Amino acid sequence: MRPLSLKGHERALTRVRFNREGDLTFSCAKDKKPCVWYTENGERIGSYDGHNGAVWDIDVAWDTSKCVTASGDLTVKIWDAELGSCLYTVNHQTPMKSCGFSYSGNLVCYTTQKMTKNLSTVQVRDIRDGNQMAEGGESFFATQFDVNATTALFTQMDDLITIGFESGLLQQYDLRNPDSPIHTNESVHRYSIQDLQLSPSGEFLISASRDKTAALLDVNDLKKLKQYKSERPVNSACVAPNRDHICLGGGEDAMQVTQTSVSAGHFEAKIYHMVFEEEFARFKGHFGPINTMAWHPSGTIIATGGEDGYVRIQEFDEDYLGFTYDF
Amino acid sequence: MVELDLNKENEEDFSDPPDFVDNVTDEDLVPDVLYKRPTIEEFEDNCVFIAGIPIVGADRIARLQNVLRKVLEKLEPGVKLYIPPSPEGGSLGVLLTEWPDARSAAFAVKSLEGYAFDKNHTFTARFFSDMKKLEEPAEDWQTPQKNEYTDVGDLWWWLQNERCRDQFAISHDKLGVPTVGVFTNMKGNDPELAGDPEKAERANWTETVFTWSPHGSYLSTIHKRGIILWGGKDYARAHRFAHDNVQYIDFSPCETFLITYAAPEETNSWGAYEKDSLRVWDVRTGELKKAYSTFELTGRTQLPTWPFFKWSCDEKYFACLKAPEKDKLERERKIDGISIFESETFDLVDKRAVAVENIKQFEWSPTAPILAYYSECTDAVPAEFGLLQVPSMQRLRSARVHNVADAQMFWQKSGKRLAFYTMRYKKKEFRETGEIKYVGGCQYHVDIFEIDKKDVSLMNLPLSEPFIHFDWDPEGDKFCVLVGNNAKATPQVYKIEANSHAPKLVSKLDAGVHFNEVQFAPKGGWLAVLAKVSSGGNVYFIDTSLAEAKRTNVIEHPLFNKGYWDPTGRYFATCSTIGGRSGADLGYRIFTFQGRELCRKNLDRLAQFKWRPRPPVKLSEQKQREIKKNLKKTAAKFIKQDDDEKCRASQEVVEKRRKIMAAFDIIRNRNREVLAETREQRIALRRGVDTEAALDEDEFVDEEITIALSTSKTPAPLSEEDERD
Repeated sequence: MRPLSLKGHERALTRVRFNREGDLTFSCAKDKKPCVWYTENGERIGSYDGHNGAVWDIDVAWDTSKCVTASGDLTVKIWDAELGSCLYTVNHQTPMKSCGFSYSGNLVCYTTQKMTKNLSTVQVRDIRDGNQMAEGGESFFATQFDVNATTALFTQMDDLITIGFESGLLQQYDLRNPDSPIHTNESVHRYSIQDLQLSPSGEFLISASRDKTAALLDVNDLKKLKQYKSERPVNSACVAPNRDHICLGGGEDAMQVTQTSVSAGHFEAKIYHMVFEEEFARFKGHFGPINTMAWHPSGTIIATGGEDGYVRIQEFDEDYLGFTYDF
Repeated sequence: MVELDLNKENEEDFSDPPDFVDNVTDEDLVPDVLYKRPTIEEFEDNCVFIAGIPIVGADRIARLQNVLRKVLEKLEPGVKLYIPPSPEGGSLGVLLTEWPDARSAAFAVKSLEGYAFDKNHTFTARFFSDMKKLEEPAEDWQTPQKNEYTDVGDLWWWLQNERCRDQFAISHDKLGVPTVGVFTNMKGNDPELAGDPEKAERANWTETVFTWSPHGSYLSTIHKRGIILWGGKDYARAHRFAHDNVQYIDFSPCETFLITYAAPEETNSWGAYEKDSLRVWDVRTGELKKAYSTFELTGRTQLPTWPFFKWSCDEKYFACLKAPEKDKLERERKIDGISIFESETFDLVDKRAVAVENIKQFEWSPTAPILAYYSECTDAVPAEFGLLQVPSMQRLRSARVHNVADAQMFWQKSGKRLAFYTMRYKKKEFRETGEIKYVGGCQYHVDIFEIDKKDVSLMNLPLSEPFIHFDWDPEGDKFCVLVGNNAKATPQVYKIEANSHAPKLVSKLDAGVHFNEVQFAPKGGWLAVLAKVSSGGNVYFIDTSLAEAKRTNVIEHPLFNKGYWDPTGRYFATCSTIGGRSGADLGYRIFTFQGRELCRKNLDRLAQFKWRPRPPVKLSEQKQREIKKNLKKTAAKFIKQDDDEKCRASQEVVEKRRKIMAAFDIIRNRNREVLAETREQRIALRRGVDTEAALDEDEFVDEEITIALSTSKTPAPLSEEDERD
């Protein structure tokens, strides 16, 4: 059965995520319908219909009760994960590129794009607060930036969020103080941050950047701990739950893909040792750049979503599971 | 007495008054005599200046004069000598001589130049008038400082590597800074910096490119003000050659001379062209041996090729194509000669260029002072391939071929054979656009001169498909010719057998796509067939040492643009450098001669990869036999060394990893502690559910999932639930 190649989206994938237990896979793409699948057999359970533009990000709460999606149709929607019905809609003047739940699942953060007069913003709303969720409601946390914030992530419970920018800058904010960041790292990446993910136990952050590297950061101060070099821009990176491994994926720019042979495009997902920064395995499958990836909580499965419109659920073989580093 | 007085009285006094000044000049009075008066110019031609006579004291000057007179009078009895005296009345070591006429003076110069007067004294003879050609030395001229000899240590230290490892240098961007580094190929393990890491790798070591000298003694770097050669274990500065804005450098084959070129600053000022854009230096002394004007040598303001001079294997001669002559309408004629220079004097051999009509290309034999040349065909005259012996300028053999559209020459490294490929057309048409079109298809031939055969024999090999590339087995009797086209190129291995008039096809290997080059390993036997700058990037590794050539491996390195055998033929490197196609991953890979990958490095902006050449040191026949005999024993030893090394290397790696892991664990544990402190808060946030607790096996509920393997559609009334899907 494995690897499963899921064809449910008509356009390039923008995000795949597992729920906490890993039995469900959530995906969204540049088409209008985010989907939910059984991880086990790749059967599609259903889609969340209601967006009217590319969906850039999807996140699921820890108890799989709710989903949040950010879309180019200028809305962030919160869904009943089970029923697929839209619970709330948050409007903004510009497209939203990323969204996420806090640890408790009560808060939702999202980033908005810079466009004409509107600066890029990062906002946080409390789902429990009817005022914030009502039409025209104000978010309780909002900061503005000159540079596009590409991704935002709750990093420590419901208190801190880490933001990645198009310039490669990383900043961490305390929700109680929207005026100035508590930590900044401007040296680790040179180009746009494409993805930020928390390690499964929460000690580290991993950032993926177009500067062809992914970096492991200390969650408490954003200091660079390790950096993984790839030959191509990195779109997504994730940390293994039970091993000291990380996986990253990306590839040649979508624009250049037509001119590139598949082998030269580096559309493989590459696995590195988290501590020694050495690449030791890779797996093929996509025929376009990998846009997003997630490691299954069990550690034996990786889901990848590509520019080619496929979600691939890859189960590791014995070679990988039996592989150990001598030290 | 009276008479006397009378006489006195009668005589008029004609004497001038004491204050009289004559107003008639000699020219008016005796022009005929003055006309004959000897002039300095006239005498200059008769005078010869001789340096190098013994320096003696005043007491022996007369004796010296006598001896010298005896020597000189043998040439011409009428000679006059003058020994300019020193303040003490002795000799200064120079002699001025005057000869009856210019002819005998010329004879004297010719005879006395280089004349060994005695054991310690050799004459230098010059026309006195030559002095005028001397230029005034610069006012601030001083005796050159004696250059301290810089001892950089053993120039061949790297050859003494116990494991006979080879070195290579690369130039790439390290952390955004152009860097040159010299590495040792560690056979399977990561290459290591060759020597002190501070010294073997330097940022901005060169401003453009680096090169190895032909024997690998020096690494040369190019700078705005000139060339620097680095040598020894610490890559210390061994020599410096000042040449502003130098662009190209080249060495003579045995590293004796260095040739540098800088484009002249102003190329459009005719008449006032540069005099010294090409310079030849002595590598060991750093002395400028000779400067040439590119314009005088080529008739052009730009350099046509580089390396410009081609050197004979023994460095005695170097040559370039002659400048094209111009006809009455100032149009350039075809080049009709080769300028061959002697490196002793830096003058043309026999003072003139060798005439070869329509010459297009020439190559020196790698082992003898023999030139192979190719002169293009014209409508009337066929193309000529010939062998010219230097310095006798005797043509050893030549072959004429009609209708040659394209040709290339390939010397075998052993100097035994020369192959030339020709593309011969049937008919030629000139299009209106000026292009030439060959009608009726072309034929492809490889012809081979065998130098060591009597009268230089010639054999011909017609090819059934278009020619792509050719290479000789450097020592043996085989060669490989690549034929076909871009889509299907076939390497064919031939053998030349004694007593046979045509090369014998040994094997025809599998055809491949985009192959464009064949390279025999420097010691022969093995062959690499390369598909450079192709998306497949294949290299075939072929063993030709057996009766039949066999392909051992095929490797892929997409878009690689360079391939190099190491000087020993044990390794092969493919690289993708910034000169190649855009979008390629820059870096190099090293393979064994059988095509097994040993290492792979990706590097930012890799510009150059160059194996360090080895000097041609040959083992004696006896030693070679000995090695062959003991091969099994030595091989076992080497295998053990390799294994030990691998073991040690992996131990080192493990040691290093342990350290890294220990450092990382400190951070990890600290973060875990931080997390542990807030655990209660997290549980509270998830409404009391501890999602981090270890999973309790008992809580698992067996669930049966039925998976629909095939589905069929049956229309059913739509419910609200279904609509959502």
